[in-house]
Amino acid sequence: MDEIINNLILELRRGTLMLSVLSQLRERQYGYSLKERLAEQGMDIDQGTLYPLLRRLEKQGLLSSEWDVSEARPRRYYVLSASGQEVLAAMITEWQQLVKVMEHLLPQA
Amino acid sequence: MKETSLQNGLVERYIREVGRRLPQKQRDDVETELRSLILDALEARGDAVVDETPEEAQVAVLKELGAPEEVAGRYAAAPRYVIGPRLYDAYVRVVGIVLGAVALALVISTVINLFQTQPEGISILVTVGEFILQYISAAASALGFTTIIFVVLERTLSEEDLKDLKDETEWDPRTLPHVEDHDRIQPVGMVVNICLTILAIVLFNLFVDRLGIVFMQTEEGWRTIPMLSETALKTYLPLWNISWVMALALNIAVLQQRRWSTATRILELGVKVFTIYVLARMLAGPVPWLPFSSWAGDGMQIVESLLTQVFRWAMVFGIIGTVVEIGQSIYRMIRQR
Repeated sequence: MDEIINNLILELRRGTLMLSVLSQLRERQYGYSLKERLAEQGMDIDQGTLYPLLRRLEKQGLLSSEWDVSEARPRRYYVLSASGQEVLAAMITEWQQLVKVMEHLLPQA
Repeated sequence: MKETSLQNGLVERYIREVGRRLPQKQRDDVETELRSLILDALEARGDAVVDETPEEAQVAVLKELGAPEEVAGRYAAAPRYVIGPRLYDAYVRVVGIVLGAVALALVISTVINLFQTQPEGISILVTVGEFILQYISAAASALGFTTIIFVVLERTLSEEDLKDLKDETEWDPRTLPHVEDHDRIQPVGMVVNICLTILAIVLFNLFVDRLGIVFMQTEEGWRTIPMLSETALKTYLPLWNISWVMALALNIAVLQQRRWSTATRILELGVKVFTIYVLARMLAGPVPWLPFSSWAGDGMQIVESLLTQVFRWAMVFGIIGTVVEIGQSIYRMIRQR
């Protein structure tokens, strides 16, 4: 039973992953700083999942990235692209509607 | 932690393991980023955990990242399956068509070969065995080539290409196939079966001497020439009678029940197994007609030999078809349970 619950929780979190990441990239972030920022707000994402996800979102045109070599070590910074901002706005609207529906569907704790 | 100390350490080995699984064009970039990210994580860990050796810290960070093959898999743009869901249905359809076409081509070439070589007795079984082996080999090759083509398509077709290939007409639920009720019977067909079986029993047992070809009309009336071999009839008629009586009993029982039941299905299996036995006896035994030379001279030898081959192969295909039917019946019975 525990395994089923864990798998379902994973599925549920996986659905929110992309939205969580996009929401934190209005300002530019590099992989590790983004991971820490999400973790501080309660959204723990495996590094092995987050870093490839950033690449995929960039490939889809939702993020743009650039190398910053001015610091002690080179870092790749990601930020929302114009189409990423558009997608994020649409996703936020959809999410808010979904939350409303789920609040009606689920019994109050 | 000094970055140079990591060159031959776990981190560098890890990055190489991830990198070698990635396409060349993204390898350097991902490796550089991954190195930078791991160093960030190690630095943060150094601040947070004090009583830890550098190696322990590296192990912990790399474990958190995940096994190289898993991380590389997440970076890789190519699909991680041979044929994905978007092409799978088409793949299954094409495999069916290809295997059917291979079977058809082999059947045709085997039949042509048989007419050319005209094997007798055990040679027929050898030819059947060769046919089966050839089919397995040809089917495996065809399956392999089809799979390779689809693997390439999976990796080269874009979503746009697939959209062009898809049927854009709106799906209509009314086009759904009807649910087959395998237990429902066709009463008219069964009655016709019963009548034909009774007719066969009567004809072959009471009027066998009338079963001939009409040759000419004389002053005494129509003169008939008997076609069937008495020797063959003596061998086969008891078997045919048993088979017909079994089929008759089965059809009457099913007609009375209005549906197929487990009992009648089992009885049907018995009839089919007996049919295989009868066909095998006929395959190994004499042909059921009189030698053509007894009524047509020697001019019909080629026709007779051709007819004999056709008869033997009809028995072979009859046996194969009945075995397939038995398999289908058993499968259906198991599924219904």
